[in-house]
Amino acid sequence: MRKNEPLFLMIYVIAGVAVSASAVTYWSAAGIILANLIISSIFFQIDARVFRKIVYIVPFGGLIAFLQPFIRGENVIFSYWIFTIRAEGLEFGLLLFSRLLSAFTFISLIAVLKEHEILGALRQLRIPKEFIFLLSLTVRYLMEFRLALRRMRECMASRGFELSSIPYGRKLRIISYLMGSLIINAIVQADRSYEAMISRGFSADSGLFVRRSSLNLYQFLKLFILISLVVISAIVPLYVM
Amino acid sequence: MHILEAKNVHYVYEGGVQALKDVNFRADRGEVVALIGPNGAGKTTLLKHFNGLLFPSSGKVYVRGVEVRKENLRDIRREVGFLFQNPDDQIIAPTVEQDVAFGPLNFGMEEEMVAHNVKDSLELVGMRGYEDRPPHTLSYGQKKRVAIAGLLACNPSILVLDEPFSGLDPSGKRELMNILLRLRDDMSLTVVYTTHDVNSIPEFADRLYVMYGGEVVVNGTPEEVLMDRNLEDIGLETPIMFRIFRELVNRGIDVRNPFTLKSLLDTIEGLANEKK
Repeated sequence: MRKNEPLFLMIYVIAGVAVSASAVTYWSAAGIILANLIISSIFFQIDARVFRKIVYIVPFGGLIAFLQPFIRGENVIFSYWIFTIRAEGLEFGLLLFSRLLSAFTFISLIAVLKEHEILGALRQLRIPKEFIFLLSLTVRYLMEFRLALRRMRECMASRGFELSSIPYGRKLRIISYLMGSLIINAIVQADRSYEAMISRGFSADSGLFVRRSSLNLYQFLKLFILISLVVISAIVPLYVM
Repeated sequence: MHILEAKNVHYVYEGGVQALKDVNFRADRGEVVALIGPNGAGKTTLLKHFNGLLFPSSGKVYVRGVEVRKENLRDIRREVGFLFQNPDDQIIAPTVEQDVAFGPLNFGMEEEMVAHNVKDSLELVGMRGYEDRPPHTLSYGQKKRVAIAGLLACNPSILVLDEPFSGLDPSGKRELMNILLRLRDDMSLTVVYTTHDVNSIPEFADRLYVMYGGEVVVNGTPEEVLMDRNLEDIGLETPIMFRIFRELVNRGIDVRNPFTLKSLLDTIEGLANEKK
């Protein structure tokens, strides 16, 4: 990414999520998704494979949408045993799901940015520095813990431990050892890192260094056109469908 | 005035363990001071006093003639850069650039100045071009160098390094040593470091402190200390060069300048010629 592209993309994503959340029908949401797919591939030249990440996040919101026909509304359209599907709930569930899906197509675009580009763009958008700092520590040490976990698993494997070949009870016990050890390591690491931070002058006012960038008039104009296209794609289906 | 000084420092940890007993220490501007001793000798505890991470139970620590106190910690920490043994404890930001900029920002430097210092520091340690790299993708030696760049970016006058060479391969050790020597020669930085690698001391350090059981048992130039003291008595090893020299002296062989490899080779050559 070039210097100010993360900021540009982040604003586009936030605007896209906002427009998705205000879609009034699922046809509108479908229009937004279509517009986003076209803009992403033509304008941003983003590989369509980034949208595969939606699969990982859909279950979170998707479950709430899936439950709606069973818990909301009055007009029953289908009933079997204890399951009753109602028209209003179904309508709302579909709308909710389409809004989520649309928002996720925007959010998944963030995957093309590196962690520090995301943090930098968020800071440029005036997200409080305390939040950015915590997020950056999380990003930094999540990777460390992933490596630590891998090392521990390799050590266990070197002593003949295979997760798939042992009884469930023992498997649970071994995994709890692993987790316990990771948590203790995390606490010790946190102590040492805090000491290292204060040795470099860390205080309540501390923040992270962010490379400054700003959008020029031409980029503002481009952004305005792109967001307008997304908004138009949400409105057109209301008249067509 | 010594740039760094500890006077009659005692330190007792909360559990009652006495880690330092009446320690006296000094380092001058542009000097490289090595601190050796077996594990648990109190080396790291002493180093932490120089950055104000610990305060003496009794005694005093001075940085540039100013006593280290809670009220002036910010100035002291800017003056004294502290390198932790494990760089993963020290590198806390998601990219190299952000981590190196962490200290200067905390000390209130202007952002333009920070960006400039980050570039210079990374250049000094040979890590330019790695600005956007996440730390977990770096090798151990590279992480050590990034951690040192993070200290240099604060413009310190003293570097306090806790086992800087541990975990490095010989070429990594040599590179880091050259970087530190360059900093001493070009910027007159004072370097205080702990090590178990006694072989590197004669060519790297100007002064040597040996600690044992929380006390400084001997100090002086590396030549004085390593020729006179039997380090094996306190669980350390004497550099091989010095063992050979000591043995030659014990056998009554005249060694004119018993501290250099050339002198050793000349002596051996002389002995060989005599035999012929």
